Amino acid sequence: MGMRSLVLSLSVLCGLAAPALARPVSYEGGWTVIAEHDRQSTSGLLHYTPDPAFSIGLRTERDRVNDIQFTGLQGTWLAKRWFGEDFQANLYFFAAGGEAHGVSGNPGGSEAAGMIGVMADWETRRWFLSYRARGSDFGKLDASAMQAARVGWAPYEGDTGDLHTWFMVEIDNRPEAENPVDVTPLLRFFKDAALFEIGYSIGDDKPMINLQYRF
Amino acid sequence: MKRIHLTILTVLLAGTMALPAAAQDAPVGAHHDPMDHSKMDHGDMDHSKMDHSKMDHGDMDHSKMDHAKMDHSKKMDHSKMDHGDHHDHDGAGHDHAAMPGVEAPASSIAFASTPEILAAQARGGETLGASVLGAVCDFCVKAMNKTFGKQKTVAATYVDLDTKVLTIVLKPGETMSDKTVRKLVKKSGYKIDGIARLPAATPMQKRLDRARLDLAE
Repeated sequence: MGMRSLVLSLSVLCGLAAPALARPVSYEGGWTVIAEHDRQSTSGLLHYTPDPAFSIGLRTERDRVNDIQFTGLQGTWLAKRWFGEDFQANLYFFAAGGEAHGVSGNPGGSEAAGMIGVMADWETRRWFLSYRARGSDFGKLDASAMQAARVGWAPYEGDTGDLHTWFMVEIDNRPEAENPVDVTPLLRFFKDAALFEIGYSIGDDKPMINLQYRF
Repeated sequence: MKRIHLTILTVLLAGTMALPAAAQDAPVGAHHDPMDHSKMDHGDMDHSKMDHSKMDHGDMDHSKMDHAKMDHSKKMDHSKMDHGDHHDHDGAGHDHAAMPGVEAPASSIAFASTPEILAAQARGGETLGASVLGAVCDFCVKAMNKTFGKQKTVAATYVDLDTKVLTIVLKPGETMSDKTVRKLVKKSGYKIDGIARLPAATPMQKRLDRARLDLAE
């Protein structure tokens, strides 16, 4: 079993996971645009939800550490949603396939590439827990895995349409990184259909900026 | 049977009117305490021409009345009733949720009263309230507002994160079945715990809604 196969298998097996952002599947007919910038990569995802349990979208991602550009299609499946009077919990699986190539001095040519992962979250109006794991295979360019867990707390329960504020902490593990484990405190601001997050990784001294808008 | 009841009521009413003044001063509620309304069928009653303006329910004890078996869903039309200033009736002691024609969760659903909802109600549409499970953020709100907002029959919607209630006001004359409400909430990605309905606003309610709307603005 090659390194890439091992990484992908481990990513699937490690199972429980959560989204960096909220709700990677929207309502039927809904569109969502997501932009994420963390200590390793910068990515964008525009997805459409034809069914409340599935979304399909275009993903582009730049791995700034390994100088790789990925572009492809991503499907996200809401495997299970648990409902309660005051909580919601979700389990998602996702997969993306497309093309990757070297950039910024990386001589690597075009390669077939893909990634798979799992995400899970539990949320009330006061508390948020999430976990995600992902394995990526960029052909001869690179293969990697990562996982991240997050806990969040809202200092107040905003009403409908108010600005919602969250204090969050994310711990991520990237085995091949210079700092395999890093901690990122962040703030989440959420109003109507727009979500904005800003944080800073303590180990790598890198900013985290995430945006999401639903329409 | 109904005729017999009506006749008895008429005789009793006539007897009451014939009582001496001292007896008439007794609290109105004192006459009602032993009454058992549970087997009465109000379905054929026409209140439209009654003048309740002089009734004083303030001292009545409704807590012992059993309305559970009454069927108000058929022919009662309170829309033209004049309850005057004396009718202060907060429903205490009644369990409307147990009445036929009203779904059980109705008593626990708090309908929204935002300016948009009041304006739509003032135009005369039926109001529905759905208790939604899992509504914890504004993305949930967006999903339901968008899904219901696309329906031609819907005039206004509001999702209250505090009460977890989706309030829907239909356009005048339009209807929406419980099945459709559940289906649309499911399309939004959520699940319904219960549905309640308010009938279309009467002329009096429309005036009240407009007044509340004016105050809200």
